[in-house]
Amino acid sequence: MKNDHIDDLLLEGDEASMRAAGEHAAGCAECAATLAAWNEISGTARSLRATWQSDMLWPRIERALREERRGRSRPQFWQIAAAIALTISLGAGVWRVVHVRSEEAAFDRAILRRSALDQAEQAEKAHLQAINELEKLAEPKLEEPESPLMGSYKEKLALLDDAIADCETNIARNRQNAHLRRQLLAMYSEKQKTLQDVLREDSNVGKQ
Amino acid sequence: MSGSSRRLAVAVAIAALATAAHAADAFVTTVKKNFTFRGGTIALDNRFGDVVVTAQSGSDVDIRATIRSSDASFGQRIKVTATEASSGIAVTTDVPDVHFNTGSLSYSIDYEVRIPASAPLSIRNRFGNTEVSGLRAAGTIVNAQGSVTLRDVGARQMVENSFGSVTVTNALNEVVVRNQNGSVRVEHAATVDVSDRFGSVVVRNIARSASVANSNGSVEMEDVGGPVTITNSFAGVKATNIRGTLQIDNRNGTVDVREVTNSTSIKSSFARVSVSSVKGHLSVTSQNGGVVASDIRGAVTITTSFAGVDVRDINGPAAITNENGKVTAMDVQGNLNVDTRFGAVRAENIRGSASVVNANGSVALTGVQGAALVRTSFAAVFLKSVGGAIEVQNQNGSITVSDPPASACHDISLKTTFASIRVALPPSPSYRVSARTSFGRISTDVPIATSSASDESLSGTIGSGTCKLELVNANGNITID
Repeated sequence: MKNDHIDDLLLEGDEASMRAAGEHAAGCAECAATLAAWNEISGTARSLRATWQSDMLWPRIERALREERRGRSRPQFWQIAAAIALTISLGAGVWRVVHVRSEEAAFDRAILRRSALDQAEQAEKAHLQAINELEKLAEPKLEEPESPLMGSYKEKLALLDDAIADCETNIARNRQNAHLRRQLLAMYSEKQKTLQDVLREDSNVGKQ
Repeated sequence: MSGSSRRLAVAVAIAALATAAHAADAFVTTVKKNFTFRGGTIALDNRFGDVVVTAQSGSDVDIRATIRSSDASFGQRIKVTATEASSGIAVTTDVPDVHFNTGSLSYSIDYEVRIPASAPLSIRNRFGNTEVSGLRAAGTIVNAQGSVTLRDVGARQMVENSFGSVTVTNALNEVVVRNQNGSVRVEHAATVDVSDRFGSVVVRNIARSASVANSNGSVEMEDVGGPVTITNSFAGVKATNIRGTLQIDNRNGTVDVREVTNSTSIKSSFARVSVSSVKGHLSVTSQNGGVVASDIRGAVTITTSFAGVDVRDINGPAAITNENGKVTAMDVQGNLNVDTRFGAVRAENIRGSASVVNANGSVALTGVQGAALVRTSFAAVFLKSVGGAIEVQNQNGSITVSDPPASACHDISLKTTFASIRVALPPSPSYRVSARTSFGRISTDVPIATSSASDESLSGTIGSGTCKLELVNANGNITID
């Protein structure tokens, strides 16, 4: 407790506090030792202080600091400029890459590349094969339709055949056009589904 | 070289390589043309590629065509021509004629066009998608094999297509769509006229009238503020929340109708018809298809065959004609008339009278406030709690009548052959009884003041004899409880 008290007085450090600390140390050996140590440190610190008599010293220091600061700011400006230029260049490069990629994607959506064309043609062949098989099976039912529904299927198939023929004629002149290929695949798929529907219709059709 | 500089160099190199690689096998060029719209129509003709038209304020017409080809020399020969005349601005696409192409020569021309919102528009496209938005003037779009999309359009819009979908959203005026083998969807329009084949049609939120003629594709109609006409075949029709008259003609496809504020007329065949919540009259003419109707505020007329009819909660009279099908009628506020063959008839809670003509089918009527007239054969007749006069003519089928009103009696006439007649009278009955049969017995638990009686005939009076009770049988018993 006593140490705490003298520590507080020493930290205050003003004249009254130091006087009170002295009075307190007179009745406390431990506190007296603390006060003695404090006074010793203070004396050593005072002995370390130095003064300069020249009035020109501080302006010289300030000038030197300004020059140093100016010298340091010049390279910073160029660094910023270089960074901006680099960023713009990089941005332009990235934009160019993205633009080219985007245009390539747009091109691919419009005109099929060789690999995509091969895949499309394989899919068309598979559809055609399935359609040929289904047509053989459905032919007897469609030759002379026994119901309005069969008549309707026949009509739909004729419509699909016309549209497929139109699409194929145009594909012959525009082979890799992606829209034509997609359209042809969609119509093959529709025809295949219609033929499956024809075969699925059983004797119920006869009642209609 | 710093790290950043090295990264920049790499990026530039990648871009250059990508461009080079792209340029090696693809020709892409953009053609731009600008005009000031001075009147007439803006007409655009394309064959292979997409067309996107966006309306803008002012009178500028900005045309941007992107030509893509697998062959640079061929691509360079594709010309986009735009001319201005008194009739308007015409944009055409000229592709060199290619008759024999066994290689990989391919091309497409996509258009992005900005036009004044007030400029009438005409587009012809064949193999590509077409999209128009913001147009306030009339528009005509003729496409063949590709989708057509219209958004936020003002004046009358006409769309023709063959093999592709048609979608119209937010049209302030009339929309006319002619399609084949492609779906059609119209949402939020003033009036709609759609014809299609082999494709589904969806029409929603129409302010005034809507008309759809389809075949082999489903039709769905919802929230229409005026009259609706739908023709279809071989696919289902759904109509919901129609605030005008509704006419449906569908063959070989189901019909499902809900919430109509006006009269509804349906023709159908070979499929089920289901109707609920109609505030006007309902008329259904069907063949070989069942009919279910409920919550109908007006009169109901239903004709069908070879399938059942079920009507419930009918506010007006109901007339049902069926062949070879059963009929069920519940909670009918008006008179009920049923004419059927080979099917059971069951009716409950009929506020008016009930008239049932059947053959080879049973008849069960419960809770009829008015009179009941029944003709049938080869099946039983059950009448319970009939408030008015009762007349039943049956052949080869029993007749059971129970709980006639105790308060006031009405005439009862029951005739059959080769089956029994049973009548359960209310407490304190008052009838003039005339009963006769052959090859049967007449028995009764009710005290009758007989005027003549034998094994096969009985005449007399029950109570004060206010009403007629005529029971005629042949080869069957007669019982009076």
